[in-house]
Amino acid sequence: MITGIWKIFRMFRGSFAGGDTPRQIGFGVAMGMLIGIVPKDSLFTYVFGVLLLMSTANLLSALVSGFVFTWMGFLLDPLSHALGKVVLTNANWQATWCALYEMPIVPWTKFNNTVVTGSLLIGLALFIPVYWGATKTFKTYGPRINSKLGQYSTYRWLAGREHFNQPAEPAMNKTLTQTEVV
Amino acid sequence: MFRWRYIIPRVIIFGLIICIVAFASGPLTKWLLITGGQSVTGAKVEIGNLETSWLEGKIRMGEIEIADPRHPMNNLVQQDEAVLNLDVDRLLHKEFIVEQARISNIQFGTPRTDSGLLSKSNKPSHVDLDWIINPLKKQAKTLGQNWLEQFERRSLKVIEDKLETVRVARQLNEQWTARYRYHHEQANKIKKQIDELKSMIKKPSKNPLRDFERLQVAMRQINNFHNQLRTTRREIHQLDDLLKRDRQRLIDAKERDQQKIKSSAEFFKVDANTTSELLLGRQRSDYVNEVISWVKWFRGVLPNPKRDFYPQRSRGENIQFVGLKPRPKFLIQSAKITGRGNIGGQRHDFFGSATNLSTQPEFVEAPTVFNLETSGARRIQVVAQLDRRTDKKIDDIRIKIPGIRIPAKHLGSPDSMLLDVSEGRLVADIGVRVEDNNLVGRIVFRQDHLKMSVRQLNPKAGGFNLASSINQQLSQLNEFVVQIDFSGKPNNLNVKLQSDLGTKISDAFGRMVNQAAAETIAVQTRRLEEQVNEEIARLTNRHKTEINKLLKIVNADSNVVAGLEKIIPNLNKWPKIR
Repeated sequence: MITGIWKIFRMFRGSFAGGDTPRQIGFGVAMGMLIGIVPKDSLFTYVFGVLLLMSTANLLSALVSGFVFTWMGFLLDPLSHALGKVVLTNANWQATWCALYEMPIVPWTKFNNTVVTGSLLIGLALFIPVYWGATKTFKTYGPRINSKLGQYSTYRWLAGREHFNQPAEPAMNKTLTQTEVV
Repeated sequence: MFRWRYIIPRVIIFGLIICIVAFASGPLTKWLLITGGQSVTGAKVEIGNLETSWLEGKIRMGEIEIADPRHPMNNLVQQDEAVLNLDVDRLLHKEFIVEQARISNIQFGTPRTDSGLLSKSNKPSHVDLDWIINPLKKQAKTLGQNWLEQFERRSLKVIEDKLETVRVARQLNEQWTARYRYHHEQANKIKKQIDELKSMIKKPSKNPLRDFERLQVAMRQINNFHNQLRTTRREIHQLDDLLKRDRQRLIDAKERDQQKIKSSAEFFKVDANTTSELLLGRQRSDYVNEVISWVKWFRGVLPNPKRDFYPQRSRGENIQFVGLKPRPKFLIQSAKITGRGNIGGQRHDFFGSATNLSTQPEFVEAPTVFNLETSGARRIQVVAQLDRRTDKKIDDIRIKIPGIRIPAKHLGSPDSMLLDVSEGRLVADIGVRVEDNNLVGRIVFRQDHLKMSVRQLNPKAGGFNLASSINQQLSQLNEFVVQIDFSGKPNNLNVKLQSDLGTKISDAFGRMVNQAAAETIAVQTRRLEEQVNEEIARLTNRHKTEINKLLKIVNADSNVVAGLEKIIPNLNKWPKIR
């Protein structure tokens, strides 16, 4: 019984660390960026959160990315507002926006807000570049970063590698192997 | 096949989140309502407890306090419990449409222990609630004086009227004294000249030739005296005509005086409006003040969100799409309410309904309507239509008091007239329309099943005796109606009071005062007649005496002159000197 519970706990803890291939980490960073950049009073944020949970993305990287991009989102407000306004006030799109707004649930996304739509568009536009950049980065610098972070017991505990003597190298090697398999 | 290592924990997390949302929907909704309410009003919103049932679309809240952004140390509203039945379909469209609400023990304007402002930069406005009503009460103090002045003006007029006859009599007396003095002087002057002539004629002359010239001069003087005496006699006789004219002048003055006295008595009437003001001035102030209190109360209950709230700035701008009809985000379509409030310094418990309450009234098709009734002994029905759909606040408030017992009271002032009014029944109908700060309204109230009597009456107005007479007439009076019209700004109201009470009391006063005045005038007229007759008799008697004296002098002078004429020799018989 206790062993079973411990296994479930290990699985839960592992899920927080998530998949640790560079792609999963990159996906986590991109999703975190999308969640962070969009204002939190929009339903978009929660939809993306659920999608994130349903994916095999690395939650830790998503959490860190979300935190960082939340603050960046405030800095991007003028740009988001300008972009959102251009899109939302476009005469050709008014009928579409009206139809969307009349649909149930949709108004909860606050898409009629210039910053929400603007930041969503910016987030979506940046999604692929961020995913690609993060994946590349973690492919290149991942082992080194893992090795550095592995010196901290919190990271090791979060990553479920407290029993490893050399946490960084084997984990990354294993990850690379798994990625190749997938 | 499946990567359970990833799937199971995520399913667990997702499930946990669903559970948290399900079980924590209350606190979550509470947080949403508080933050939403605060972002709209710019003032603190506190909710004690909250239960939700999303499937039924029902929210039950307890111990709710919403601070007043205009008066941070007061609550805009405080309520024990509110049960809201939400339109779930509209909720999916992010619209909190409450189809039916039940709000218990709602209170407005209750004090807070801490400031309700969220941001110090919000400066509370006091535009509406600084209404000053005191001037109406100040006016009441002068009403008694105004009322009494009517009686004072009347007495003064009668005295002035008397003076005209007296003045003419005095003028005539002076004129006749002067005339008599003149004629006496003239007569004496002639007499003196005659005496000088007499001594000249009788004086012996040494040279007879000289006598001729002297006597010639004397003859000429005698002829002259004859002429003067004739003229004087004619003038004295002419005084009779003058006397007749002056007597007529005196009689005319007397008749004019009598006419004036009579006419002044006919036109004397106690002014009904002044009497109404005296008796009902205080009530007028109280009623208008109470109506303004109600207006203030409703204004406080329903602020103008556009002007009175300080909505927190959100990121970006919410775009209103072209072709999309704007709808309110929060609307209570209908609510049954019970509560209490301090209105006009009195605590009222009330119950009733409210419709179309919204934080965005500009998007609501109909104005907010309160239909309230106070409970307890003082039942008051209030229908208030508060329109905040435009920048101009428009309130239509109708208050009906169907019939309440009112205690005995005094009307008027002990300095002028104090009226005892027994306990009775009051029926009132009040209508007021307020556009921004401009009021137009009418208060009509009827008090019946009562008895009235004058307790005190100032001596200037007739005193105790007149009060007793008036009380006999007031015994028939058991009801009165008052209509108060007011318009203008609350601190500068133009108030007009009309009442049949003033008319009835004034009529009673008029009858009694005029009756007393008629008796007084009859006495005065008679006395004036006697005085004039006495004056004419005195004038005539004096004239006779004076005329006799003058004629006596003139006749004596004529006799002397005639005697002198005889003793002068006939000058024609004298030899002519060549």
